[in-house]
Amino acid sequence: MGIPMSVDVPAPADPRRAERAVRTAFARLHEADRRFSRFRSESEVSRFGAGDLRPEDLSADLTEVLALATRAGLASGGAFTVRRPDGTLDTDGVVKGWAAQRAAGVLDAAGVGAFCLNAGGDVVTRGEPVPGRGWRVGVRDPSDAHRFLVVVEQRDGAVATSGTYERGAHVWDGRTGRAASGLLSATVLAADLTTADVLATCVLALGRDGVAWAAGQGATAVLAVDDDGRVVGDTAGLRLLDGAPAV
Amino acid sequence: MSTMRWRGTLIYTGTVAAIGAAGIARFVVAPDDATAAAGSGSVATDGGQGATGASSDASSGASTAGTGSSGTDAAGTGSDGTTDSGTVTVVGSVEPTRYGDVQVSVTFDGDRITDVQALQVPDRERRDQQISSMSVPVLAQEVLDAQSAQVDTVSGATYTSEGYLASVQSAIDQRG
Repeated sequence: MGIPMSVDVPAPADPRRAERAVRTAFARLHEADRRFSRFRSESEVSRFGAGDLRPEDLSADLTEVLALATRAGLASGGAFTVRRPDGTLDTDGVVKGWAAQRAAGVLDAAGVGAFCLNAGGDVVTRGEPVPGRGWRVGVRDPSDAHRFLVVVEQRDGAVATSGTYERGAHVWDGRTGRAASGLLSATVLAADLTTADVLATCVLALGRDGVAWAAGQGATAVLAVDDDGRVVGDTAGLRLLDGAPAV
Repeated sequence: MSTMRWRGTLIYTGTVAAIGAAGIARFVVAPDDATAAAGSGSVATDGGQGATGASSDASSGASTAGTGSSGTDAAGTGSDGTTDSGTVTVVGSVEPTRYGDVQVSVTFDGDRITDVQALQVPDRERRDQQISSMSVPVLAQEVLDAQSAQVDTVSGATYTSEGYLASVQSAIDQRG
């Protein structure tokens, strides 16, 4: 599978500097990939999962990711876990958002004031694509790729979506060890993508109860679609675009 | 317009990792300003991922397979320097995937993408057909949506797009 990642930098003040920053940001993503891939036997995650590394030997990055996962597991009553039902260590539920947020941090540090980073459907935005308006992020309707549930306009923030419609039931409920059920998709807006991504996975694992729960965990808005196609949401924080479908 | 738009697309080719395995990074400068097009070399990294390039004759849409690295720059392809307005269709590279080869054509009107068509999708097995029929229209729409006037980007569940976006990207690369 490929996860496409893109960065749009509108009208950079210093194009060369912006391009260098984007290269560095992508290099950080490659680095995270090498460290966290379950599909490379030599990756740190694989070696730790196989018991070849002791906790005190872990890198700061893996330690940080595991701490994030532990926190999410506690906050979600055990629904979120990095242990697959078969016991394999799988940090995917934390790593993508965390790595993309860190890549966004590279752009921030380089002074790239406006950008939109999209990592396989999870988004970090900064500033404005054109003066006077924020970035417009369309949230895909899980049952119809030709429609958006909503279009959100934001300047600085993050949007993450977790769903079963692209990769099947790949999220499991740590409380039961079974595939998460109840929701087709969950979209979470938050100040940063690390938070948004892990919360979106948690909401999917928790099912309908997760929607209200996420609002107390740092989500600025939550939008989910249940198995019957009904939209369940806490959209008080959403700035919807004119003409977007009412939720 | 003086707006420059950078689009760096990092395409990973793993199986189901959250952040795939080895990847290709491409930076495409797609300026609205035609004069900058000549300098818009795209770069490919991570050797070994070179894809088969295909270039097209814009008027006929016929494609001629050629071999090239994924970082082919605009001057090296057959999509002659049509950087002004006008409609042009560029055929993307053939991207080998686990399920078979994927190839698309992308139609530009000026600097805007107006259509994405799948020329080759894997169809060897029933399962492949399902994957193709599902993911190709989805991704085509996402490409179009993402650069439509209404939205700047799309949030959705992580795609399962092995070669599709790579082929789209190569067409954008050729277009410069």
